[in-house]
Amino acid sequence: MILTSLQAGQILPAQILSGQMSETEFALCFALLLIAPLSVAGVALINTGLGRSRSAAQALLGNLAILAVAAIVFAMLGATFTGSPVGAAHIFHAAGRPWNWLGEGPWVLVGFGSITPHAQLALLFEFLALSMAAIIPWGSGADRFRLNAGCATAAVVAAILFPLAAHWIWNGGWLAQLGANFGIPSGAVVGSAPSGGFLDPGGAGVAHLLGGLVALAVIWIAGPRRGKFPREGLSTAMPGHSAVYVLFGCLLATSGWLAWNSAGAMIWLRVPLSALPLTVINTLLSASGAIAATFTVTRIRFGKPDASLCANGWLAGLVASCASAAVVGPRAAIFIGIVAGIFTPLIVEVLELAVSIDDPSGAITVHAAAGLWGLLAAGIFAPQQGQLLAQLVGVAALLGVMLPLAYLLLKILDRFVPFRVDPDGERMGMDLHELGGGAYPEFVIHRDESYR
Amino acid sequence: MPCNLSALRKSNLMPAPTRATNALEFVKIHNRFIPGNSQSQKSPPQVGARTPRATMSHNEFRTRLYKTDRNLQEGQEMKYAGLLVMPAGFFLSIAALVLFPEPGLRGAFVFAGIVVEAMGLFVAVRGHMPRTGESRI
Repeated sequence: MILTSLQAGQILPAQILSGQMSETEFALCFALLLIAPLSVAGVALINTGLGRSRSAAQALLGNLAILAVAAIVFAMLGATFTGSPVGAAHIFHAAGRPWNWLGEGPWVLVGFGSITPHAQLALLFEFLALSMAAIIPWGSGADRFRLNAGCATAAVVAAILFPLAAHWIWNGGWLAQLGANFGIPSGAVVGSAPSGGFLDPGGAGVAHLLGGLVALAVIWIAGPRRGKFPREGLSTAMPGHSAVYVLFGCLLATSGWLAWNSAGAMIWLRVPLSALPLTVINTLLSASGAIAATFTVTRIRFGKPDASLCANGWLAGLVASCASAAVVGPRAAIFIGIVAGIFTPLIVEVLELAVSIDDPSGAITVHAAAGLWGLLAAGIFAPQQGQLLAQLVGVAALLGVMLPLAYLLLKILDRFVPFRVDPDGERMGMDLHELGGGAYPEFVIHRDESYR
Repeated sequence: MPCNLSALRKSNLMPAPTRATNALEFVKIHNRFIPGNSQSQKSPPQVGARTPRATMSHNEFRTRLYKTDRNLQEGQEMKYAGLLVMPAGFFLSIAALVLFPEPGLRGAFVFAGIVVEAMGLFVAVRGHMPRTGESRI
């Protein structure tokens, strides 16, 4: 393996990001990135609402703590490995081709002020994407995942998993250069982005699929909540404690998502400003198609529409739109949403009833499965030729590398920072056990029938 | 103080030959001795008896759980096997990129790599499933 350094200007994304960005574009993109965190806030609220009332304060505090840990670790360590499209990178040569697999940037963001405005916005976008990827597993481990274990997991994601994925896909890594290095057919793309590479401007793979896979690893390691899967009969229903939180979280996330997808399209695809309204409309249409489909499916299956599943469907539509909103038309966006909305309640049911996976927030379905579908849909409906092959290679890389790597790292981490709370703490509730006080001190906490 | 299960069985504090066949059953059996637990209040230990679970750490509990439960051991092995198969699918996809310049063949092998990954994921998920009764697949 030959390790070399790639200098600025040798890779296509570098040419893109080193290009001039007008002050208007910069100001608009920066404003969008200030609104985008609402999507993270919405997901945090949804996760809290889908958990139990005895763990609500711990769930929301955990989101804040995880964001803090992830941001600090990423600034100190992760951003170095994520690299910059206009910076150096670690490359090895195999089979006569360069494989750009890891970034090489300054430590602790030294010199951040001197890089181009576009690269600064790209780094800010990566911070937001990391925030999303880090809080997704927290919702899946609700009611039994310890706070310090959640923070440690976020540190692992921020230091190792996210930098690898972000560098490969966004910062000139080998997936971003599939077209240039492997001759995958390419054509004109919206904006001035490099064509033939893996397409994921909104982070369907980097943030959502990665977060969903880490969530699966966390669930495997922490195990189900006590009483969830009894020896006899079906699994015990443990509904979320607040449908209001969940549905309001969806509304909150939507406003953030519209800004998120627009900012991603500006940064990674360099779409012209005139293309942004279509991106926003496609995002909205995808979510709308998804909730309509979930509403219909749950009504047919259960007789009445299910509020939490419909909320999950809406979120799945938003996630599925991440990869494709900037490159497809409105009809394709609706179709993508409808497919996401149909499979969301079905996969939730299969995971719980057939596979015995206790995922309170539905992160595996909403983030991993919908993100996966969004990536494939971008390949199917994108106008350029050969995009589907690039998307398949990217999906293979994310699934085949990230899940085993995440499980391995978290399994080791679990030996030092146990993930699961002890049975007493679980019965008592995470709020009392970890924080010493409940989220709703004036409410009467009812005895949980599942612990009899 | 470490828990001595055989001593507990001899002193009739624990149902003697009951073998935990899965994690949940193990938890049910051992939680009888947790102070404050509703289960333990139904069948309280004898006066003066120690409460072994109260002194057991998370890792001790889990280690004992896996030693006791053969199904869990097999499940773990299946999960590791599945997780090892997944990178194999990834390398198959990468090899297709390098070896086959022709788009059709390349696409077919990349797809085959994803199928291998899906099989690995299925095995890993199957290994995780608790064998809890007839109602489980």
